[in-house]
Amino acid sequence: MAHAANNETFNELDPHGFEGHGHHASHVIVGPFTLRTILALLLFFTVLTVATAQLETAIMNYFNITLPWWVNVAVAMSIAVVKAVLVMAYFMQLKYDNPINTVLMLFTFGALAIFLFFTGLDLFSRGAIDPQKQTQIIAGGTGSGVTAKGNQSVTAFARERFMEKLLAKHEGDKVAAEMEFAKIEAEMTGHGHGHDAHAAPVISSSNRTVKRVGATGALLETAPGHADDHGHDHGTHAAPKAAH
Amino acid sequence: MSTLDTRDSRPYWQRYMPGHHWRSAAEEFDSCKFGFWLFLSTEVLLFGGIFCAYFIFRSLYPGAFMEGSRALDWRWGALNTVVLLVSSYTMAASIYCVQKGLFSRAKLNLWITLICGLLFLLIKFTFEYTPKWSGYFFVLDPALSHHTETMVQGKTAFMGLFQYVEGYGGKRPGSLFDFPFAKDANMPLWWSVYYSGTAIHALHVIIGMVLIARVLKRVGQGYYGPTHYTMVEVSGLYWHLVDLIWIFLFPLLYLIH
Amino acid sequence: MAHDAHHHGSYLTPKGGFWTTVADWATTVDHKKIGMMYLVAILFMFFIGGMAAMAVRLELFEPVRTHVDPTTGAAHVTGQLFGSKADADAGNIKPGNNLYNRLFTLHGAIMVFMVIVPSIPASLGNFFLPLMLGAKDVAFPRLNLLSWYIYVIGSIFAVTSIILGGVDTGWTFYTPYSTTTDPGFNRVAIMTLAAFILGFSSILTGLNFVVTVHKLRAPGMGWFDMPLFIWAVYAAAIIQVLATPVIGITLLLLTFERIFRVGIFDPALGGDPVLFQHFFWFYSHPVVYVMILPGMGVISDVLAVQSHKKIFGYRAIAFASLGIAGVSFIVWGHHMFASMSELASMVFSALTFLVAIPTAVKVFNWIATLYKGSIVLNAPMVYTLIFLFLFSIGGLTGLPLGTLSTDLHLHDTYFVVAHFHYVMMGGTIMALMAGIHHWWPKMTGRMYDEKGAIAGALLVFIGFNLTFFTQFFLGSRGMPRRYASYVDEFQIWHQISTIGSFVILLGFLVHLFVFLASLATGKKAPANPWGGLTLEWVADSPPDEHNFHHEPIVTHGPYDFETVVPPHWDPKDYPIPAENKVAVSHH
Repeated sequence: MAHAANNETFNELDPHGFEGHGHHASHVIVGPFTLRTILALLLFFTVLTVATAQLETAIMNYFNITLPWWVNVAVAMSIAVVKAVLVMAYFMQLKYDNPINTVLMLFTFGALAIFLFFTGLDLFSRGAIDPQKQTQIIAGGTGSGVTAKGNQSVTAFARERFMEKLLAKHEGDKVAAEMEFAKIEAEMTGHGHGHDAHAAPVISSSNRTVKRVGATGALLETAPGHADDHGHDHGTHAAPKAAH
Repeated sequence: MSTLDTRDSRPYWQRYMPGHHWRSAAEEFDSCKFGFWLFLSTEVLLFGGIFCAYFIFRSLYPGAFMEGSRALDWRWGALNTVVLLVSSYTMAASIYCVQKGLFSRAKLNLWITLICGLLFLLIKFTFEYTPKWSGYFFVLDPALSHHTETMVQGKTAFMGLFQYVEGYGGKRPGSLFDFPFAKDANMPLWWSVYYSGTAIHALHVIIGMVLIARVLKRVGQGYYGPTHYTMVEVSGLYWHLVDLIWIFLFPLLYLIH
Repeated sequence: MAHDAHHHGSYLTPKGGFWTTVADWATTVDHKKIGMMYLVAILFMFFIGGMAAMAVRLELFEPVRTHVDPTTGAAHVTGQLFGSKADADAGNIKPGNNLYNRLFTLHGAIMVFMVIVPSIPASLGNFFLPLMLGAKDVAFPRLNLLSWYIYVIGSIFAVTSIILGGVDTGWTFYTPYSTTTDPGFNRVAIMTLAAFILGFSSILTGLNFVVTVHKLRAPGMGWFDMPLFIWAVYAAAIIQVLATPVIGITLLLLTFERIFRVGIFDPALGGDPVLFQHFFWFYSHPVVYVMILPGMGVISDVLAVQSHKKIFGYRAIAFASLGIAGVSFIVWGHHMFASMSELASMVFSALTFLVAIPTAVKVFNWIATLYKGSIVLNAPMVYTLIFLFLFSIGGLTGLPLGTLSTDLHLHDTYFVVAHFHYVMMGGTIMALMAGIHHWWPKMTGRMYDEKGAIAGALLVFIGFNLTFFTQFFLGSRGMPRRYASYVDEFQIWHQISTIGSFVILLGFLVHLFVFLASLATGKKAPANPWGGLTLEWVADSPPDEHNFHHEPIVTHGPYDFETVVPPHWDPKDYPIPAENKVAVSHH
């Protein structure tokens, strides 16, 4: 629009810009053919996202290797970014708009990237310079002030509560209660998409602990999160096989 | 029209005058879009916080996130993705229709968008949230067939529409967690991230639907037309953003392998 | 040029009776009225926050000591004003709800969220942004009104939380204390919701300003013809839009954490409290630049006009504003040196030094502007000089805090408290006072008493230094912040500091009196008392409802004092050598 708003085209004889092109100059119409093409592309990329995720599992099972966990994220995010660009450029008409809108979104994603980058830089480099500073991560949290016992994780506490409920149902018959527990567990863990019916890929442990030296080391020897099993070994995948 | 009849009987969109501080309607339209993109950038950063929490906790506890993602049914997630993509298309199509003056087609497209939004929420609440939180499955839920053994016969809710399954529910965030068969001790944290992200997203779906419903009503009343459709465009932008967020949430939550 | 003065009246002219006027102001979309309402609200909240600070200083006048009588064994507590230990032991005060903690939290939360962040943008910015651009209003006037009401609602939430007993977490709401304390009552949730709501007010104001600056400039006004106040407010508005949503999600997650114990920030559930700090400071660091940038913009304009000299290095100052806004996003970790990894601390420390560069550029340019200017020592100029002095001290003391090795000793001491009071109060509040005095004739149509205003300014200046300079000594000698008691050797400094706070109070009371006197009996102000060249001086004092009678067309720069006759001034009173003469300003 030849308007006074755009000062590069400021016309001294017509400072208020009434002799412009008219109302419709900035109203771009994105036609149905473009829209349908973009929708088709988006649906295709959705299928691709699911397919690549399942392909990764298939590769891991077939070749018996473990892909690092970030591969899954990188592939999925790349496809998601392509989809996002399509939505923003065509459905949201960034391609046809004043470029300032695109610049704005680039700044926004830049700020988000800065946020994630520096936060990650801190949280994942705790032991980088002084290994003693590496925080010991207690699986499930310390549980203090949260659960009734005050020193077990919420998951262990939930397991315990359910066990008590079953015991009450079977009137104190521990064996029957445990049998029912195992039966329900089999059905729960068997439910799903069959991924863990075969050898599940070995994944990194959720509990990255580092032995602490010095005075505080002994205090953390018996990390509360570990001593909560009450006989249920929740680390193995053994149980489901029996049910099948 | 007699010379005494001074009432302007044209539809509102033809009579529309921009605010007196604008130099033209086109400038008002461009500025409204720019202003709304500024608002969308705030929404992106709002969800950015959730993505940051996701990023940190997935890196710290990959086992919990993998187990948690397995507990989600990716097929519902994919269906929701398709629903939102289609609704995005119909929203963009409705803008095209308004620009061309095809008002009844515009309304049809807006209705489809609304229905897709409703479908999204329905799938989310009925098939995803309710069973996980409480253990009650909708009776027509296909997943129910996997739990024939642990179904508690006779324990139903909501006029028999929901069937209770023992030991399935309790997948709740934080200290509300009550699922007995979690293998990884950090499952409550996974559920916290899942519920925070999807619930805030669902809230935005509802807000988007309110905006679209208002636009739908006004299209019927002749408020918007080829020379004045700012609100339709703006509501469309909001809806596309809702879709965009889900495009990122879906693979991050449902497809962790 | 002469217009019919009886035709419109100004924006302040009441439209009818009392209730009509109230309804008019309550539903107005006029940026000037909204700016005035913000100004009054902000000054009121400043008073409330200030009262909380006075209470804190009173408590600190004497250290708390328990004397045990050797014969009877009875304990006797001295020096404690709020919440005695005996009361706490007797169970009369809930543990963790110590009144002192609630008072400094109240002071911090009110001052940060309700006073300083909106101070200049929402009041002076709302009033003068459209006027300086030659526009009739901001881009989205109704959004402006919504922004005002959101501010009111947020403030009501905050006051409610205070009335229900207040919050003792500190304004930073660190977890897990803030997620677990006071479980039944949820005053913390009310206060965090207040901050969440106020964040939206800030976002909408920022959004409005960005679009206004891009789209509503007068014909002939390019980006580099705008007053520097606009550049500063624009840079601050960008920060408001990009940073505020993150505090939104932070407080939202904090509220979820309190209500549902989701565990993201709670180590008891596997979460990470340092993650909360990252979330919190990602917003709260850029927001301190939202606080200071508009203040710097005010100083640029006031300084140029009151020394009647073209600003030195216009483009440098303009780009420095943007530079400060940009760098502000990559330094937030310097608030967390004591809790972050060493690697991240080193990176953040290095980046923190960068922000000193654009800031220094500005300070040097201001001083260069003063050089050989024809300086008038009126209240705005006195406050500007006060700003330059106090803000420089504040900025320089930021350096030992940004240096990792020294910060580890100074973190959470009174040194930090003194630093941020020098920059926030010695910076923003002094700039706010400079701006209020500079634009008082324009906003109210009246002149204020110069001698009274300068007396107030000097009282505030002296009181401020007494209060806060001593705190540098306290901090570097080890006095921790947020403590109600201390070792004996600190007492003299605390006492001087408390006396200083009373002097500040006196100074502001003098100002209040001067302002009220001006409104009641002040001399009628001319349209351009100081000889400014920017467009707001073209408008009447106070401005007409529609700002200008004709859309202004800009033909000269905002600080061309050597070549342009100021608007409303008689060229006979403003002799310009013939070779310099470029234009008579419009009107």
